[in-house]
Amino acid sequence: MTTIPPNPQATATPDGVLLECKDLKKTFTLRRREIRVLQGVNLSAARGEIVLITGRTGSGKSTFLTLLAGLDRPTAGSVRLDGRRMETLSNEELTRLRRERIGIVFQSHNLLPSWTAFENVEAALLHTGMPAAQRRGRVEALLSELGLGDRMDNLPAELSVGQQQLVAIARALANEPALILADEPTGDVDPESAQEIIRRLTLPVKEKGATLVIASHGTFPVDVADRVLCMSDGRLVPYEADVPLRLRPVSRAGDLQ
Amino acid sequence: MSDAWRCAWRELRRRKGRTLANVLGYLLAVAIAVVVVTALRFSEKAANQILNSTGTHFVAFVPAAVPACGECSVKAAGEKGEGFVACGVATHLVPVSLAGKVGSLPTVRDASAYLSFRFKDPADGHLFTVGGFDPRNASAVGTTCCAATDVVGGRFTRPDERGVALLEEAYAKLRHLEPGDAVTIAGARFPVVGVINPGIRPAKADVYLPYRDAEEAINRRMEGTPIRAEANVLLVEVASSRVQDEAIRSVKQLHPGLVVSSYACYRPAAQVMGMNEGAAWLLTIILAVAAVALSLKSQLASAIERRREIGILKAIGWTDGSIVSQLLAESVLQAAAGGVLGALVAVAILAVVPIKLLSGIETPVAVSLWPAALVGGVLLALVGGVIAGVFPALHAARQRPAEALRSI
Repeated sequence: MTTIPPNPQATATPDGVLLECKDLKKTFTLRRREIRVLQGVNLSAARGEIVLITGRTGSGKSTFLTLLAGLDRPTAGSVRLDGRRMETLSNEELTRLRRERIGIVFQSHNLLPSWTAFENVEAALLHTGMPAAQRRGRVEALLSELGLGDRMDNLPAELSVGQQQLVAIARALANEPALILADEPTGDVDPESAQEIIRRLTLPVKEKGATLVIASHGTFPVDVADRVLCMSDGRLVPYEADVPLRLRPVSRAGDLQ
Repeated sequence: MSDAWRCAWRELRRRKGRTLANVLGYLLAVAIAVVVVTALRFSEKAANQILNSTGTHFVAFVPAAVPACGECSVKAAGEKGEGFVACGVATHLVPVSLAGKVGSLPTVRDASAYLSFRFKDPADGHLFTVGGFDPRNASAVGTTCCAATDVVGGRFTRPDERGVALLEEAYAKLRHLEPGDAVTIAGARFPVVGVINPGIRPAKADVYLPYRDAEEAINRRMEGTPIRAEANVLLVEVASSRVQDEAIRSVKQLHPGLVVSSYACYRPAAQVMGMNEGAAWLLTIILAVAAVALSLKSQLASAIERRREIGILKAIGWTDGSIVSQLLAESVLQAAAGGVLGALVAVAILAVVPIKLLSGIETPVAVSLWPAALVGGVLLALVGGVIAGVFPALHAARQRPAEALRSI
């Protein structure tokens, strides 16, 4: 089992390692059949580092991000964020941790269909104790920066797929998270929009030292990342650019997703 | 407005169909409950009013056969055949203050002291009964003895009037007397101002005199000590037909020798009324439970439908408490709206629908809106809203975000 070290440049940041997971395993039982999606994943990511995880569809990338976000519990292994072991936290504490430290961009945007763009972004700040005026200012600024200043009152269904993704990114960044987890953030958008998404996602990394972990099956440019890893057979292995993704082994998680 | 209420309001506005259905459920339940309760109270009042005229009253006295005790006294008239009587038996006297004690019982609406004395006419020797009543008392006297509505000729005694007599119709015919004539009782002459037919009343007499006049007339026939602040009958009006038995027990406990004469016809009527009332309350409770159950089902369905949304909210940092607050606020808002609108609809129904006419009950009692029913209806809706909201909210909040997000 190999622990993939953080990018040396990134670890040079004064705060050191932000995210660390050891021997992370996740098994699902589906129709009495065990599906071992993650089979001992190790990763260490420093503050200010961008980690890109590639892998074929169904390789377990999304499941891995789900565990990093504390949305689900691992079958075995541990995840540390800011030195806190997430498996020891209660559901309530995990929720607070997400609210305060983690921003998530879901693969399918996961916007609330009956809430406007503004309300979707504001939702991430609603129970933070932030005054309403400050909340409004931050949400408006974020959406304006993303070119959605005139679409704030639109429902997700009234926005293009790319615009929906931008709203999802704004929501993930609203609480100024230390860890940003993005699942296929450029999967459904045109190259121009993808550039804007990449710029906006990497900005907090450059300006505030946030850590960005991206899962992508190949649509995200590898040169943006400090490190590129590949999810293969339920484990993270170093990325080999000359091996096409389609030739890499896929875990049995493919059956699930 | 807190974030939970603001978000709840927004959700309700956007899910108009479901919101309207839930509000309508509460509206109907509250409106029907208020109308049923109002009709029930009207029916109860009307029935009480009818029962009051037939049996929610009684007379109490101490028969002479009972050994005299400390509070009661035996006083005899000089003439043979004369004396204190009630319901055909000779009686002792009791203090007038006992009427006050009886009147203060919670099951008793009113009580009045009454003198019932049998005189012998010195001219022809015929016996007749004189009832000494308080003309200012229209309640206990009116139901057990005589009332202005009983007048068949002339008029009724005025509240503070003295020196006049009323005659029972049969007695007046027997003696060929009519208003304008006069009767002589114990040497005193009383002009007859009215003839009455009280029907079947437990304190019926041949001649009715104001209490003080009767007391003076009786004292003129007494041997030895005259009566002072004493009466031989207590006229009792019960608070409600349902408590008549309890009232009788309470009155008897005040004086060991007291016996009661009442009509038993109130019993089956009160039982029937109780059954009707019970059925109406049961109907109201069933309606309330049905409304809450429907709302619970609707809220649960809504929570299940929104499973993914709730998962998203949890994923972005909404705690279980925030989710529960939001869903509970939605449920309570719907219940409050339905409750208030239901109360208003009930007021409108009661203003427009002639319930009294439809009920077919002929009574002077009017259908009146009971404010407590309106307040109770709204409170019932709110309680229902909390019950219908809390379980689906807890159910929704307990789910793991990853499971919820996979649930599409």
